[in-house]
Amino acid sequence: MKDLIISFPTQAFLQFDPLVLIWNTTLVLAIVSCAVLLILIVRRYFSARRRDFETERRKYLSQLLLHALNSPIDLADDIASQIKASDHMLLIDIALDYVRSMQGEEPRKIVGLVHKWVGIDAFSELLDKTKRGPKIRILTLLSHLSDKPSFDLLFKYGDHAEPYVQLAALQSLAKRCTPDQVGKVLRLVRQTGRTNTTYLADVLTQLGVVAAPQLVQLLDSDVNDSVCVAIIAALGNIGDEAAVEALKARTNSTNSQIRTTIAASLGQIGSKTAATELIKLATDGNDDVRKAAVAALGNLNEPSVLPTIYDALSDPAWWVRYTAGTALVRYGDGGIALLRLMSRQDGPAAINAKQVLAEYQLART
Amino acid sequence: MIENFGTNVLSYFAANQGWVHLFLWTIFAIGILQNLISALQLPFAYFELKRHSQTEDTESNWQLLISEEAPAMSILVPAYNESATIVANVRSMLFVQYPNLEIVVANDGSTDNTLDELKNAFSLEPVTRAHELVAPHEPIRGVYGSKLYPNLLVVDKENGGCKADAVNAALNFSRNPLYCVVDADSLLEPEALLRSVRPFMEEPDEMVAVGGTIRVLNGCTVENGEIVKFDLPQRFLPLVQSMEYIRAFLMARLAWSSWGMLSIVSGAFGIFRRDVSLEIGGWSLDTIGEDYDFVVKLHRYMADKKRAYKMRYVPEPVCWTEAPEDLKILKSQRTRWQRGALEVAFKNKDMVFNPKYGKFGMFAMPNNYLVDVIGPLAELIGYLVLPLFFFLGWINYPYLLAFIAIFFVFGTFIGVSTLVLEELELQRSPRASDLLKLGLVAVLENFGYRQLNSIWRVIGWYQFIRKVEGWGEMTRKGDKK
Repeated sequence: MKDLIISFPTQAFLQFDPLVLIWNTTLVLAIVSCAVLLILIVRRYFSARRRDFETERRKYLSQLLLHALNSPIDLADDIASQIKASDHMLLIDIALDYVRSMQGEEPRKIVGLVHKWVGIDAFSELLDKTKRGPKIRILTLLSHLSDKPSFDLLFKYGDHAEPYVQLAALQSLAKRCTPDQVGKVLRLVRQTGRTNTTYLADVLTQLGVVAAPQLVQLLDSDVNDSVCVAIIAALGNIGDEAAVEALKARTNSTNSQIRTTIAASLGQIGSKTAATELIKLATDGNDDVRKAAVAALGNLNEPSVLPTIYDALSDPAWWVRYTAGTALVRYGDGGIALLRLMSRQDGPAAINAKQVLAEYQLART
Repeated sequence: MIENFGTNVLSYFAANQGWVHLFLWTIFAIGILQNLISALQLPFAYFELKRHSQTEDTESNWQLLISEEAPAMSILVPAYNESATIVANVRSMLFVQYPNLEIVVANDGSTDNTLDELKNAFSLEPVTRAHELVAPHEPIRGVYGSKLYPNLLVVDKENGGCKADAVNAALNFSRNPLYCVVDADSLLEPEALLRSVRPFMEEPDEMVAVGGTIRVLNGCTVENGEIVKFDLPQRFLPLVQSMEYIRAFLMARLAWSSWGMLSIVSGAFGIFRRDVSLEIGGWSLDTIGEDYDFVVKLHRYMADKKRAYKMRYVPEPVCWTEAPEDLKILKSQRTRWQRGALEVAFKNKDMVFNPKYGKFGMFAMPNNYLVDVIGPLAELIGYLVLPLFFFLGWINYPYLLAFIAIFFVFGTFIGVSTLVLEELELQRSPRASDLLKLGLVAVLENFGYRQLNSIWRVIGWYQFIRKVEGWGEMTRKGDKK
């Protein structure tokens, strides 16, 4: 019964002693573990020192920047000689921090100084070399410039494969582009694959009312559903009535998220011409679509839709019922009267109506 | 009698060498399999980290914050006897960076003055709030709002005996499409929600749950509900738990997330879709492992309905939580976790190797059985049997030593390798000496702590068989300023 493990079958198949294998593996793992830990400690030690150095350098550069900004005479050229290539990313970070907390002309002045000290070639080189985070920060900073080379640089990254880099570039382009450049910027959106839909919607919204016709055109092109949702949401945020027909035409989409966003956007635009489509969406099979449609009907200020909202008070989904209640409140006395009528009946719809009325009264007091 | 039993067992083994072979091989194979899965997790965790890393990308979060386009979210805070920490923690939640946020605290019938602390600190007054009654919970005693903080709601309810009951009450009262469950004793980093909401914005149709990282708060300096200085715990017990959390989150969850088979989103910090959560009837009240149960329930429901879905673990958002500092409380926590894991495993045994549940049923659930059901028993038996066989002269000394060495060194290797992931993404332990401490802990935990954990898990097994219920003892120091 001795040495049970010696007789393990591995020895029959393999022409070596498993004991040697186990010890060798153990030794390799131990050496690798020690080496990895040592590398990490050394790396952390030097990165901490580098961080300390950067903190000090950052303070110094901040002072230089503020000196240049507040000086009655132009110090930019004198200071430029003190800026090293290793300062470029620090300067970009400092400028972004200031830009976030300043208003008026000052952000533009700060970014102008950084632009002068870093230069467009260095921006371009940094964009090529750096990782996602720094790329995004550089692209964001470029939104405050107005020269053509930096616009072209932003344009180059407007269809970047990495979603957040692309979004940063598009956002900066949206802030900077003139009405005649909108089409060019939107062409970059056409090829977008994986993205953050709501972020893209926000970017497209920043293009403003001038972009609405071209956003409608983009909707007709072969864009994926995520981009489609972003465009529809942007059209709602922009609130241009000219987009209503294009949105109404898509209420039969098989994608429930598209139908939901259309209903919400039609509600934001508030066009009474969309009432028929919204009434139809208020009986959709999807809870989210019905909820968005009922909320949108509440925004129309069109008494003819009141029966639809009243019917929605008895919807099987709680959220649709609640949204119908709040939509009726928006219609003033007429809507409140309908809520009171429902509250006198039995069942979940009445309970819901009572709760909405109670909330309404509490808000009034 | 025990001596006779022992003698009989040993005589049986001596007479049946084939069985002894099989037994040893099985224990050995389970150990090897668990270690191989761990080894496999490392590269996948690394590539997942590189793919979705949010390190240094603070700008996108800022843009999301000022755009107000991020989907509205509710933070649900189940609170039971949390008077020591509740005010500081709710205050920290009120200052979490997120454009459209409400906080719903569910006071689960606390017997201390948790509710009074909240009333005084936030000038709460009774309010009326329309709400759904889908997820089951104990009756509501009152609902309170604050004029100072309009996005704060406190739901006072009768004690439900479990965290899920309080979560369900808060869930019914919440109004936003996404919700985040955060323990009342935990602190969210300011950007945590902005970072963890991204998967929902990228895949709004399919994403149903996102988990973030939990780290040990002990050792950090907290002022006004905000961590002002990151530090590792001074005491060994919370320090070793720091290493455990790093390994569990940064390696295991990241890897399973990359495989699309995430089994657990921590109940201390997870974000979920409200509509889907209510479709599955809210959080189960009949289990002590409510977070694990909830995630498995989501998998089951989505697969049953044949709906495309995704869950993801995002390492960057961090929630800090207080870890037990004494053995008694740690034992209570670990035995409870083990009971919870067993409850969920046996409740969902039909999912194991069931192709209906896709790769989750074919791989994740069997792995959960290996880790939670078989693992603790095999590990403890291994610890007991190998030395026993050695003393009986059935295994020779070189082999005993070799096996012990490889398992211990492998454990250390995995721990140290996980620190690479920590270095790449989080760096929440700022000094080089912290890494050295964690590295040493990765070695030391193999000598005593790991074995103690095995014993606790087997005790959890025993309690599960005996149908022991309840949460056991869990106290908070509440030393945050």
